[in-house]
Amino acid sequence: MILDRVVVSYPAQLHPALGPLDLTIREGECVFITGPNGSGKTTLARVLSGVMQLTSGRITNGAGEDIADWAPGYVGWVQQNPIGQMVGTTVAEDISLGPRWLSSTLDQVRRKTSAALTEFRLESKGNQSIHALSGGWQHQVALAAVWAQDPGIIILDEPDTMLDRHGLGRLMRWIQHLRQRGSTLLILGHNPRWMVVADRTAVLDHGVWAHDPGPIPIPDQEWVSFVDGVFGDNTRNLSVCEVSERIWPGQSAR
Amino acid sequence: MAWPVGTIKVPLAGWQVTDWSLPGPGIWGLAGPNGSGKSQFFSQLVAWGNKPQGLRVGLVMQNPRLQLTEATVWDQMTWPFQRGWSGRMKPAVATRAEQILAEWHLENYRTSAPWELSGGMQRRLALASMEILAPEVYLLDEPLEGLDLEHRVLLDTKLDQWSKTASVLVSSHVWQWLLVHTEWGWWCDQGLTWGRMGEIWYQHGLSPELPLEALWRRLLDKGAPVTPEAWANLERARNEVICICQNSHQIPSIP
Repeated sequence: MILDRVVVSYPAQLHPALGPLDLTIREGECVFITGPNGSGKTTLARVLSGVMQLTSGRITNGAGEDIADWAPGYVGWVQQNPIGQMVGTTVAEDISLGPRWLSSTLDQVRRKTSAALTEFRLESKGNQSIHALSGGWQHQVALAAVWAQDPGIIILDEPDTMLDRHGLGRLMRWIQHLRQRGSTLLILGHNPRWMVVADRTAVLDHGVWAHDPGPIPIPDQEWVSFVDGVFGDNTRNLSVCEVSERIWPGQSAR
Repeated sequence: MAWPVGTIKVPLAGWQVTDWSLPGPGIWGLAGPNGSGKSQFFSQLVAWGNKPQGLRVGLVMQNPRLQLTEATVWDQMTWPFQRGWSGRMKPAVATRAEQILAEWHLENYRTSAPWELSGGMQRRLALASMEILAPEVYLLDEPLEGLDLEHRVLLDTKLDQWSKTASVLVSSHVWQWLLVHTEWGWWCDQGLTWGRMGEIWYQHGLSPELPLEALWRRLLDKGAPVTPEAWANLERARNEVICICQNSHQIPSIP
């Protein structure tokens, strides 16, 4: 995916919300895009998913095809606010909309929908109204719907929002699966956990790439600081089990 | 001032609590799995009939977009204070609105429509428009979601300020943040169970995400004398472990 001098402006705003912006994402690459609130992350997701037009510039794929000519369903987008992308009345209906649009037989639709419901542990909620679900479950329905759509490029806008540990675990497994399968991934958000998951991190600020992203803490730094602080240098590679054994030897009582 | 609420029914999640009350000034935690009824509980708390007359309760919803109803950011901040068709209000209110907007870095968006703002800005606007009401009870449903690092730090500062005089009930799935800010609170799952947040994390926190969290769970499982919430604060975690090591005569280096 190649962004060439992309500019996006909203009506009645003096400055562009995005751009001019250049970016190349290789097939199978996972890129984490972060930046302050209002820096243009969600606007970038909107243009890449085709729901918003460019003011100027061009987005093409590796074959040189313009974004307007990409196959339907080629880009999947899990929105920051999941309720904004839900149109089905029930969970199963909403998840099935992508497969209905893109599959050639009803049997395929059923299979994809059923697999998505299972993958995100939504089997028991299939007939429930979307609006009766909590925010966290709505988010998991949005993830399942894009999973069922099976797009080539996946944009996840703050995908960990409102998820409990179970939901986060399912999300991480899905991302791991996508990475193994060679899907192209764009993760937008604030949590440093994505820096560990992604191949590279880019920082947006006021709609353009920040020249100096500055130091961004990554989760393991806390661990390194803890181990160094307790046991001194050259111990940072100790595993959790090894550190635990040094502090309090013995087996778990639980 | 404590808020004696009484009985609260949470219909969709299918549970109820009786004789429930929110303690006085401080920050109180609410944790629980997705779908356990935390957001419904917040909604039920502000429902008509549950509030004593005159008690100012401010709610920031999980999805702040749902509570941003006005045409501009300025109107969103000031509509409770506007009088009649002219929309006039006391100069002191306008000054306070300006000040709070500036603190939340929204001063340049006064004339913008709330729905044009980014998700994080919408969260900040919801927080700001609640702050101007000077509530005696703050109900914050996953207030971290959408906020960048700078505004998470600002929220932390605000929480410290607000909790000096008001009761603040916060829900979150971010255990590290919850354990730093709340000492006591409720676990929400088929009802509400009161306890120390550290104990709640240990009992219900599920699979650890961070290495330090995993270490702590392991140490607690082995019966090591560590406090459950200490892992959330690097300095405290280090001090507790150094103390254990010194007592067992394996002196680690002290930085």
